[in-house]
Amino acid sequence: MSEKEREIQRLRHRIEGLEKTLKIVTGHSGRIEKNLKQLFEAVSDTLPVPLLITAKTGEFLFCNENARQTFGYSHDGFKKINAAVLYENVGDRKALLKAIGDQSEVRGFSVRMKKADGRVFPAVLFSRQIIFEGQKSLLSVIYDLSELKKEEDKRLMLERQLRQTRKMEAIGAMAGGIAHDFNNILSIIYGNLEMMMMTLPEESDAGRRVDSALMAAKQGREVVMQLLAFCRREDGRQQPLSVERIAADTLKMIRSMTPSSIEIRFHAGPGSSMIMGDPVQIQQVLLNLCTNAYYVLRDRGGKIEVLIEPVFLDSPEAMLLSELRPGAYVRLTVKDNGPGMDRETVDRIFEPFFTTKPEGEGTGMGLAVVHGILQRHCGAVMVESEIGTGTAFHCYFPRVDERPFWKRSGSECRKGL
Amino acid sequence: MMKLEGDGFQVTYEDGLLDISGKLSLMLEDYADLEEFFEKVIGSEPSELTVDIRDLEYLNSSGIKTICVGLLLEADEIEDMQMKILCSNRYTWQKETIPTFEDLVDHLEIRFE
Repeated sequence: MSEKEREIQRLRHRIEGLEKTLKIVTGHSGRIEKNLKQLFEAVSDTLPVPLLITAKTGEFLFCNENARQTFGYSHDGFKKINAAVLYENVGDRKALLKAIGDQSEVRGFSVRMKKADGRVFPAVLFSRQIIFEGQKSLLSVIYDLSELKKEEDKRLMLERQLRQTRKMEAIGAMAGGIAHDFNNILSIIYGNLEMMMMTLPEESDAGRRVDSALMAAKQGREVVMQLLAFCRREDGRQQPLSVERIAADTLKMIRSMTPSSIEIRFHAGPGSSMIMGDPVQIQQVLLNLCTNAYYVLRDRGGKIEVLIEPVFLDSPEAMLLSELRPGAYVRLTVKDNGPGMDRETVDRIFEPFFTTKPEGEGTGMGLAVVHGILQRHCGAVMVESEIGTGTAFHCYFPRVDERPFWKRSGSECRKGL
Repeated sequence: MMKLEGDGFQVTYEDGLLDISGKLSLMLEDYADLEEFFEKVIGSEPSELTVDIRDLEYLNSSGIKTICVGLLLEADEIEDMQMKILCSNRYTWQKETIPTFEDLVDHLEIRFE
């Protein structure tokens, strides 16, 4: 074999070797590529948040399992839409692209996103430019803030409720002290005036003045009684009673005094409405709430609904209601379709002497008394109000069973039913 | 002893034993130093060459190409050189790729442990 032939043979062998190397390298890189793709899909489908990869034109290149669940589009569904469709405000995607264009990465971009069924939710985006399948793309990870916002709202509500409870306790303690001392002073004034009245001729000028002073002292005593009712210094007679029966009787009286432009509806749900309470005070609760409802409807007309229903409060729900213990309650609701109240008014509505009525039309003690009565009955009152829709006061009284204990089941007794 | 160290990998050669360990995932153009290292190994014309990759955790495609072309094909041109590759069953890539080297070089001994 000549030198040239040997060189040709060597080069041929080399080319064969390179061809085989190419095959080996291609096989190796193919396996690596496949493994990386599987890894990417496994990681992205394990992510508990939506992950999307889009072209700059808005075409979807990749969406993980969570994105399909969150937005409600199938894999093919994503292929048919443009990324802009996922934003409540289409302009937000343009703003995101601009921000990424400036910084190549955006973290915590707040936005409202839209699901396939049209529902909107608050979210924050973490996006960056990447090369995906050979083209410049946008990778976005989306955090749905709905649950976080719900939790935050709940926390704020609990905080507000706690502050309200503490405030009412402080006001109650202060008002109780004042009312007690003032009551003692009034008793002396009242007693002396009565004695003076006995010594003066009725038709005398001095007699008329003392009579007028007695009237004022009487009014003062009523205010003191209401203050005492608010701050639980006055004990009532507690006995088993049916809230439904008391409401039915009280509403007869209220109906007779209410103009026909105001409709009064009464509904008692099935189940017991037995509580331990003072019937006079329960009547007072209903009267005060209905009087307020009547007041807001007196010029425009409307509807007052009185509802009674047995409810069972679990722990979180009970906590929202002035730290009530979980258990069985009778809920007395007085609801009107009046103008409603703003947040500031709602926050102060149970404070003694707080009133939205013009001077001379209200003492501001009606709802404070309701609050006090409910506290004395180991219950709670809460208010729901919306401007333009109306107001509802929900009174919760601990329920008692009218059946003797030997007729109740074990679980009923444990639940306090 | 010859030695080459880089980001996450180490290569040594002494008396016919070439040891490659760590992770090799360089870009193709960054394998120039390793190609030069292999050139020196082949230039020493050992009668036996054992390539120990039991601790080579990862090797990318460019690394495969560098070993195939810069080491195996060059060594194959040296007459009567005995070549052996020591591999590890711990690494899937070795189990999948190294046996394909048998197509490349005649009389190549591949041993897994």
